[in-house]
Amino acid sequence: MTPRSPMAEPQLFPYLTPLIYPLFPVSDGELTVGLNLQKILDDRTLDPFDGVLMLDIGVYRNGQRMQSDTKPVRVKEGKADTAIDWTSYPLGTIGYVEMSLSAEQAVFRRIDLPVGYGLLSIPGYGTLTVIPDAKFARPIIIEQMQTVSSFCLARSGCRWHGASNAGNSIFLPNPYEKDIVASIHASPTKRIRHKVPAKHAAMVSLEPILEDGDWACVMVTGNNRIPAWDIRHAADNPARINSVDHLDVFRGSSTHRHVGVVDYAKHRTRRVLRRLGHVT
Amino acid sequence: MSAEKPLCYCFNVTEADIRAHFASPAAGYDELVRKTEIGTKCTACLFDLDIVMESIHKGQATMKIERSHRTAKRWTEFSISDFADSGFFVCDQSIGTTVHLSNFGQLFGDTIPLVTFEFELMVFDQSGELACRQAGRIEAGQARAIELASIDGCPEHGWFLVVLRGVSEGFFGTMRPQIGLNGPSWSASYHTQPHVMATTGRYRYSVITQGNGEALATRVSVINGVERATQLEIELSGPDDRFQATAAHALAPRGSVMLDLDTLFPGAPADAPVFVSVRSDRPTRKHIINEHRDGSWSVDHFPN
Repeated sequence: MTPRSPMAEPQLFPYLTPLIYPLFPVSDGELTVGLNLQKILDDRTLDPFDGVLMLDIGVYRNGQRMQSDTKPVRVKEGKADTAIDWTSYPLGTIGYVEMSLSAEQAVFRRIDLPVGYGLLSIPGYGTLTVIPDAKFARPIIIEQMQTVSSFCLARSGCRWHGASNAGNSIFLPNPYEKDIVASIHASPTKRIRHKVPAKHAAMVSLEPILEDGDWACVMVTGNNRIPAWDIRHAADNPARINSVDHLDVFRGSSTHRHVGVVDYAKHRTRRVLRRLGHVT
Repeated sequence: MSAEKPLCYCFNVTEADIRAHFASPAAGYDELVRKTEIGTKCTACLFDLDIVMESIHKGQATMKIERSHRTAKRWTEFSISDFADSGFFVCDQSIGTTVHLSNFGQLFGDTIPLVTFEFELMVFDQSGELACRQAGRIEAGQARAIELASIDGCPEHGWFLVVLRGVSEGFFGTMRPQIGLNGPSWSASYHTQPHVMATTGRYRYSVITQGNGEALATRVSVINGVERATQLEIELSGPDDRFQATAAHALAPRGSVMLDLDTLFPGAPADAPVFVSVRSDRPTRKHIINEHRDGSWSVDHFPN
């Protein structure tokens, strides 16, 4: 095997950025997370290695770390002794789960953790999938900061519809060290400000800022970045949650890309084909 | 942001300090915070710290913040602006689908140049036939909710491609389409995704689901994103070695299907998490739908 040039040596990291999962204020039910450790090893490490990874999981409610789990994962020649780590946490008091993975040596070539879906199960009701958010260094937020230089999340289709008992809230956990004042806007004049103390979480109803029955774009900002999820629930019972989705970042990306003549020709051809009803 | 100026003013930590810390291959984030206390007082530096961490991770110098877009300079350079997103829909007697488009500035302000967008919505039935289409414009500062059932010829089930095109150069803003699924006593939503991402994924094809104790109550929507037929292999496995089964389904070019996992996998465990995998020999877009006891739905896409 040809040895790598020192110049080509990529920087490696001994940790991955923590993932945040929401714990909703639902009296009965649990959040199940299946973290695919083998996939993380396959995707995020450069070479197979022998060693130990530490999976650290903290459950936060009301500003307190209520539960801690630290699990060693033994790795031999790049193979984890546990391919998928399954953990479950009861719902109940509102909060969040913070999950991080570190190694004894710098072995990770990227720090963003591949997303593993969470599963929210409520007995007698059903299940929902939940996508986690990254605590730090989420590439799309960094891109936004570089382009529009302030933090802003957007959800273009929010709606409160009392007649069909369809309610809508935003879930805001604060996994950072200081309080965050989040501001939720539904128009230039309609907004809610909500303080989320450090290590707390809040579920903020959009009813005060949405016109009943109308669709509205909602944007979220704060004095620091904050994870957020769009929650659809019964209008008369916020604990009856039926849909959870992450908010998207306000896109600072340009409407146009600049390409050479070949790509431009392909683009024009694609546009003509679409007019003819083809998918390209 | 220069290397000399403090990045964290509370504790006088510079970008150079951070880079020096991470020069050691075993250096960690927690150690940096412990040593310097960066980000623990006013927290205003956390964004900048994110950017520096990203640039260290990429092995590049920190990128300068660019607020303006670049215009094509050379005669050999052209601008293209089509963004095509896709998703599934239902427009039957009990569930309707709304495609919501909005074109607002950041926090409804005018800090970045917004432009008018043209949109073109193409609706396909499950066999892959183009059933109907609608086109229009969304001016800056406007929004539009399109009820698919209100478009002549819209079928009960299928998928759509929505193409967005800025009429001049500016920023994308809030234009990512949001889809509302509206039942008789509930509402769910999901965001569309770039159609091109459906046409490149070859390995991220699994999600987890769990039944309600009596049934899986789970459906999988699969859209064939290309002009060639594809064969689907659907696998349900877990928990542990309790269950493993596969099923097959053929999809026409541009076709789509809503697979009911209870019909596909009778006897599958309904009381514990299971993996659902969908493999195809052509690029496909996949969503998972969990139906609840009250008839409401939740929807999510398979990982990109």
